[in-house]
Amino acid sequence: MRTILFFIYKELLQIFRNKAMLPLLFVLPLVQLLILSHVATNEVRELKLAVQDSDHSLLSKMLVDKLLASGYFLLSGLSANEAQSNVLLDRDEADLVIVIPPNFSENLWQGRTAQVQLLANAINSMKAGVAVSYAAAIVGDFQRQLLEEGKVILPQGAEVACVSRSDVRYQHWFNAGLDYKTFMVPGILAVLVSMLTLLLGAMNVVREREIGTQEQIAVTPVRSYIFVSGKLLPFLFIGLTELTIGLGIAKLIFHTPTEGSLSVLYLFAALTIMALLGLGLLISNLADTQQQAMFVAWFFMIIFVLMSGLFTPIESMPLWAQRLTWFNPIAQLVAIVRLNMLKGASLVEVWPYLYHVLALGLGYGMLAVFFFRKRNV
Amino acid sequence: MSIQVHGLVKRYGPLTAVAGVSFEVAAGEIFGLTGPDGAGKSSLFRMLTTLMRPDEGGGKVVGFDMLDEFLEIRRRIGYMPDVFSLYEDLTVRENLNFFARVFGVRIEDNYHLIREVYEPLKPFEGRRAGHLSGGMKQKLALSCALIHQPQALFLDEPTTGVDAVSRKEFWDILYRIRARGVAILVATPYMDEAARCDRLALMQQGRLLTQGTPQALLESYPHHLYAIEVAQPWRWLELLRSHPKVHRAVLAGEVIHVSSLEPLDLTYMRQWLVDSGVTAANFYPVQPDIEDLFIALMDQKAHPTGL
Repeated sequence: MRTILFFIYKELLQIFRNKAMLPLLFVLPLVQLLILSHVATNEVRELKLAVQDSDHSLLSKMLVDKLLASGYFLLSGLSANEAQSNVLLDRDEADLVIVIPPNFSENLWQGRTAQVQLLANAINSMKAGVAVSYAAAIVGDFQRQLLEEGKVILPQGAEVACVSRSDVRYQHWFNAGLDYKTFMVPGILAVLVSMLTLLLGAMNVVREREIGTQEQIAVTPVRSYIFVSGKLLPFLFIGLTELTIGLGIAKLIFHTPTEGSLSVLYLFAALTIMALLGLGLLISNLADTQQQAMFVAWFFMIIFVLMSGLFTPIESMPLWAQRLTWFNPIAQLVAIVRLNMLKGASLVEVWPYLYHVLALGLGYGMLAVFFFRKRNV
Repeated sequence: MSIQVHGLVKRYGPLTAVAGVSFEVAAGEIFGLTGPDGAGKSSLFRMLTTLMRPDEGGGKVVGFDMLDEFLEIRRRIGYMPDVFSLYEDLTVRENLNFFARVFGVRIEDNYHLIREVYEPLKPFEGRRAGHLSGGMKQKLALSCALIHQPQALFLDEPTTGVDAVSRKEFWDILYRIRARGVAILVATPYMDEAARCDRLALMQQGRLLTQGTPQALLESYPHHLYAIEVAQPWRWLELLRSHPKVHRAVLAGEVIHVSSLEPLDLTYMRQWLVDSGVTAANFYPVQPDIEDLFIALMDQKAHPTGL
């Protein structure tokens, strides 16, 4: 068993002697964390709003003011007719045009149905959807406000039909301000740690095959599991160190909450990293050079990251894709890190994940050792 | 016997790299293996060092079965592959220390085994292995292969890319290791090195053509050999080959080696050379060297009737 320590010592010597390796290991991922956490957001702000107001009344002006006061919209242009509005949309000078017809206020004062049209530029369908729903909510609020202040009198019997008085208010648990960074930072951290360990683990094993030292080790009495563990375990330490630095940055710079116990977080991180290292070893069996290993590792990594639930919820994927994420250690780690940091989930609550990650680790590990033996000796 | 193998066969798909090889190496003996590239030397080494299982045949290495007791063998052999396979980003000392630890020994305890090899490296202990010269790399590799007191040493073309002085030093060291009772199997493409072995086998197309002491092998030379010293020797090869009694004419350094199936009359040949326009030539009989023998044997193999 002491032999494995010499292997780990040798490995750490090599890693820390490599001048290109240190920045690769510690600086790049942290730069990624700092940058990605700011840009990976679904929040839509500063939508360009154009106004086609044919009513020119006090009420229409109040409606436009209310939209602009919401903070989501910036006034980007005025248009006199539909043709002009279309031009604004075509030129991408407006994301949204609100069309207020000439008889808007008259209809409102007289208790008739007043119409407002929203024209959205739907090239980016998500942005358009968000813009329309923001605007619709504000228009609905405007209507309710007019009624409550008694500025508009509804005709007899019309009240129930056109205005709903129920008021739904959301309270967002675990991220009360719906701060996107709070949600993204733990996930990005999990992905960065996973990517690093998978890629470097796979390449590190192949490296010895490439330079021929694996053969030199093979004629020693050292068993292959010792050799392989010695190659991979340093990346467990490096992965956990990286997690620690990342957590520090999350806390200090992004003020990300850390509700759960750190021991649970590190336990899961360690288990997931081991599963990823097992997968890395499996990949290394498919490759003769570090370059090949890198390409195969990238193939898995792209799939794993995009299907990790980091950007798009796993629950909204098709069922077969949801099943596939069972084999994805990165998806497990993203889920666990979020549960732990944001929700403060205890070991009992994440128990099923523990079995899952253990099973993945054992599965990948055994497959990797099986193929490794088949290939060597 | 330190190494005792019989009928070793290794196939790669349709290609047979080793086609039934048997030989023995005693403790304290240097056994040389020579032959052209692709003769199967490296495959044979990989089987003997337990890196690869033979498809057929077997035997014992340092007293243990090649197939069933490979871990015991690995504890007791040293192997220098044909390419430098130590960690180039570790220092000389770190490499040596690592391989000592892998075998569960300490450098201090076994230093006497490697002193003569390692001493010239001492001033460079802190230097990375990748920055050493060819001769130094080879000494380091030999040190790492010797540190655990192996009973058999496998050296696959150890002096390729090493200068002549270092090669001579290397062989002096091998003789001293041999004196400790270590069996040494060495593959070499250099015929002068082959002649330094206690016993020698010529390998071609996966088979050992012949084996024995270099002296015995040379005495078995089947033809009669003559040398011609002449200016610009390459100009006359075709002419010589056209003579009916000349079996073969090849360049051997600065001279031409001519072999014949029957003894040649020196006076007649000298006159024939002058008549053919080869002036100022010196024609005389010579002792064959290993290379001449090898060429003759390869030829016999291709044309078993000797024609």
